[in-house]
Amino acid sequence: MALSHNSPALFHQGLPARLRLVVAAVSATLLMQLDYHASMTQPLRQGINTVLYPFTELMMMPRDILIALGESLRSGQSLREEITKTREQEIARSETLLAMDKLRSENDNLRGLLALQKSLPGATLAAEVRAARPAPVHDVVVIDRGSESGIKAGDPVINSAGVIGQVSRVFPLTSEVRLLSDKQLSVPVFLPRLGVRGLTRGITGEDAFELRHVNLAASIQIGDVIQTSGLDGLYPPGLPIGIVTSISESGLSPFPVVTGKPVASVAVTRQVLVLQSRGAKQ
Amino acid sequence: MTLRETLAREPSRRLLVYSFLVALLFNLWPWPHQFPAPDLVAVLLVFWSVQTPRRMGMTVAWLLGLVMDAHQGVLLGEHALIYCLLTYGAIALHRRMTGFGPAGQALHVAGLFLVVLIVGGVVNWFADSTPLTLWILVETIVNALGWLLVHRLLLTILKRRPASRPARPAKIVS
Repeated sequence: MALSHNSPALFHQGLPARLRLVVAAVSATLLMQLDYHASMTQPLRQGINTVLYPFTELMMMPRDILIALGESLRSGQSLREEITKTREQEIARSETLLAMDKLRSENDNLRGLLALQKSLPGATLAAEVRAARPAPVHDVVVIDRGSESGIKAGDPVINSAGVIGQVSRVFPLTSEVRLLSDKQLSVPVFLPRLGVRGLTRGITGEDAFELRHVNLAASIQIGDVIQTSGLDGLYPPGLPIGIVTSISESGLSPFPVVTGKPVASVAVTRQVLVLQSRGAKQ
Repeated sequence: MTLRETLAREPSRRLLVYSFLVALLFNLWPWPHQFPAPDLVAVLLVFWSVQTPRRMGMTVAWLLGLVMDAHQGVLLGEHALIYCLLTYGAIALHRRMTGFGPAGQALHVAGLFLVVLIVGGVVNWFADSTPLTLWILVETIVNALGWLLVHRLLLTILKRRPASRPARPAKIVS
């Protein structure tokens, strides 16, 4: 049309930039909604992570080489010391193990007498922490075992000191583990000294957790031991979680604010154990 | 516009692709927790959007963002949104920025990063009520410094490229 107000563009330039931004922003927001509310995006995430896997491994190589070099350079003296220490620990533990074997058979016997279900020792899988997820808003680490090794989302992860966290996402060759200090992880716990139950909730970035819904009347003290209660059927009961580090009155809620510190840390040892016994989804 | 920029040639497609690959590998490096490493992919998106706005697009930014989301284990779409905003902002600012020297341009980049990181912080706040922290300022400064470095390095490369090879005015992803 000769009298048209909009003169046609001389060159084809596609959609205007502002419209393209709107399309991109809306699609990104939709994807976030999908990812947040449904697990439909899991295959997409798995696909990208599987393609990225060789590259992330490649980029971790210099660090791994440095670690290996550091270990090979350690003097024989310190290695000998470590061997002696480990042997002493082994002897000390063998005693406990023997006592535990006896207790377990006794316990099975009693449970049989009471017609209760026997507590089954489940399969475990050793894994190593590869890296921490760099996002500062989450306390998540990546371990070197995935669905190929039979890991499922929700599996508890422990080391020799106690509970570390829980598997949150599984990829074919790696998995993400949410640490106890991650805000999105809650574990039902038990304070053996007082016999009170509660729930942990991580405080991201502080290597600590909050103890929620504990009994108002309980006289919690700093240093109290916190263990898993096993009420969720996911964690075996009685695993060490941490110790109480501070108690303060909260202004708003009737519950006191109790914070604790995890006893197990991935900063010290990188070897962890995944408990595959229950394997139920979170 | 500095002399360096005037003399800079149109980058080849290969340079664009390789620079993004290097940036992606840099971002995959296992940085220690809370180490203020610049997001080199974002920095590069800003740099190329200013340098050759016609050849950068939302699609590249969106897809690169998705890759970073999957790698960092955050909500899929978070980085996609941030990278698209950065690209748009950089393309919108590219004419204005040519009137400044590197330091002035870095200030523009810092402002752009600050705005976009605040948007990202708000998204995080909606997603899992993570409060906005001053960490954003640290990230802004680190990324602006990263931009200065990338700016210097890539302009040197662009200036040195032989003139015999004509630049192809094609986009990476249409």
